[in-house]
Amino acid sequence: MIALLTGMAALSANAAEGLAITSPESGDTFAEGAFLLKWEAGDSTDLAAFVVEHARDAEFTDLIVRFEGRDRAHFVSGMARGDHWFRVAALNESGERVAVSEPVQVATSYIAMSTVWTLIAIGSVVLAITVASVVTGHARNKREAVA
Amino acid sequence: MSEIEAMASTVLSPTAGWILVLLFGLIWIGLGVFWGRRAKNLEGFMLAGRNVGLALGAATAMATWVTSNTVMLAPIYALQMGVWGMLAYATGSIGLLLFAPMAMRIRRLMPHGYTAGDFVRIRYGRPAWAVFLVISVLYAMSWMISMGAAAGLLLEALAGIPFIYGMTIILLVCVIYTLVGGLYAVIGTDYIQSLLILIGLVVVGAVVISKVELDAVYTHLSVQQPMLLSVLMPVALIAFFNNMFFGFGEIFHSNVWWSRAFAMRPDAAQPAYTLAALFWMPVPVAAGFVALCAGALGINVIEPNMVGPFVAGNVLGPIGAMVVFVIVFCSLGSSIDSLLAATSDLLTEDFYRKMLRPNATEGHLRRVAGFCIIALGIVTWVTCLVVPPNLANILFISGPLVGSAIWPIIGGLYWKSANGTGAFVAMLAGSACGLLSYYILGWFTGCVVGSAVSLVVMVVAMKLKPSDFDYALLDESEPETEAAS
Repeated sequence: MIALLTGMAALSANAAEGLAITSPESGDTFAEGAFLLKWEAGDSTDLAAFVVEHARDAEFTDLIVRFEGRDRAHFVSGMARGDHWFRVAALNESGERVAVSEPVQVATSYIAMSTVWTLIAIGSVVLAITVASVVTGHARNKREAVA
Repeated sequence: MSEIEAMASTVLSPTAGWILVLLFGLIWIGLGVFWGRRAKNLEGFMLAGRNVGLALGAATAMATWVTSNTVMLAPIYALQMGVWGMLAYATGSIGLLLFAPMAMRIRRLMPHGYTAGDFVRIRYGRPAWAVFLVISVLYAMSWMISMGAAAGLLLEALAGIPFIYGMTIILLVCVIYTLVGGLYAVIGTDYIQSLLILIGLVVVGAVVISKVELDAVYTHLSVQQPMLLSVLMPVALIAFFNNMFFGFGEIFHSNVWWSRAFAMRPDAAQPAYTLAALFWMPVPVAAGFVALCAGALGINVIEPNMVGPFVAGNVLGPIGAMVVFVIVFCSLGSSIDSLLAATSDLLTEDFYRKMLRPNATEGHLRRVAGFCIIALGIVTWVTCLVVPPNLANILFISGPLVGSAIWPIIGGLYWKSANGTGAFVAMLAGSACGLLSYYILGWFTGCVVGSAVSLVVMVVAMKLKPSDFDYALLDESEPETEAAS
């Protein structure tokens, strides 16, 4: 029994060593607030599930569980502007945490709102001219067709 | 097992997938051959006899615009840009709505026209025509390659059919029936495909809505993906306009839409495009909504390309997965066949007849058109194998180019004083500035910038050197041929 427990502990230790987020890398910045989070857990077969945890600080206070399951990737999107921390925990069949990855810190840096408003203003003007051109042209076309 | 395979393993069995692919492939070829019997001359082959009515016209426009991108990119828009992203994709319908009156004018001004290239050549002269053809062919190829890649990816993800087999079969089926029946076959199959797409979407939409609690979706999004609900999400705000102008550029310039305008009866063109826009508008909204529900349904998104079909397949079970598979198969076929037909028309009419053999016989041109369809199929097939299938990048890179063509088309149709130099420079400058913006500011800005620059150049050129174009010149008589065969 002791040998079995020792073996399980060794497996868990292996899992802890192998569990790591492979993408993105710490310090990466995303301009659209979206990326694919991927992790690996070595060759461990005793892991029942993974939990992806997300927080706005390195201490993971007020963390959000984004995913719990067997997959080894999770698409993250809709992140607010600023810094974010992610880590992955591995669970065994009993639901106990047997390993936690090193956290990665990423940032979301959306395009500046001044640029956004400029482009929206340009887009609005072009749209208005487009619609006006087609509508007035269509009216003229109908008159010409009748004539 | 790859991540995609892991995600899709529960959607549809490979056996069921193969049965559906072979069944619908044979149906499309059979129907193509049946309808294609009416294509007895070049005009029949290229333009379905210029006698397409309202129902067929609306169906073919709607089915063509429901591409695999609608199924795959609209959910990505929703996943990355939220509610604005969903609406941004739906602005594609505004392009169809605006093209409706333009189609009426095209049909009236050019009762004997064959391609969009004909219009640009007569209206603006050869330099602008050359630039237009380059943009048009590049865009058509990027669209077709994205469709071919999507075919492989979707069939692999939904049913485990290997990428190369799925992509090859769909391309082969479309090439065969387009080759045999020309636009008759394309429009006929589009009609059936549009009915299947609409019925399928109603079923999928109704079941998904009945199984999803909107409160749960809202709560999930507001906690885990708050920016998807933000009114001021920066990328989404620009993407709204960018996608709208991308749609304008695609529809206004592409021969896919011009060939249908030429093919429709004069009284059918405008209402057909209007109806198509109204029927199409809910499709990306539904596809995007399904993607937004993924988190609340406990479905892990790994491959954003596949989220729409995957969520629908999971929520609806095996029968639902088959419905999704049929929708996807129809949307792929209806777009690829249209691109094959319209691009081969462009190559045959603008490159071969107008540049190389102005006196070629009808029979000869028909053979050239067939050769072009086969060549396009082969080029698409090879490119899909060689180029990594990143759908968004393949298509979006052409956005600034087509955005720059918006104003040469609108100005050419409605402004007598628009001139060829302006159109030429507008397309070059719009494309260059749009591409710069694409790479410097982001993919979601290229079309806005390209179309704005194109507009400014067209207007300035018009003011500096106004032309006085005689629209009667656009009414070319039947093209001269050595003898009708």
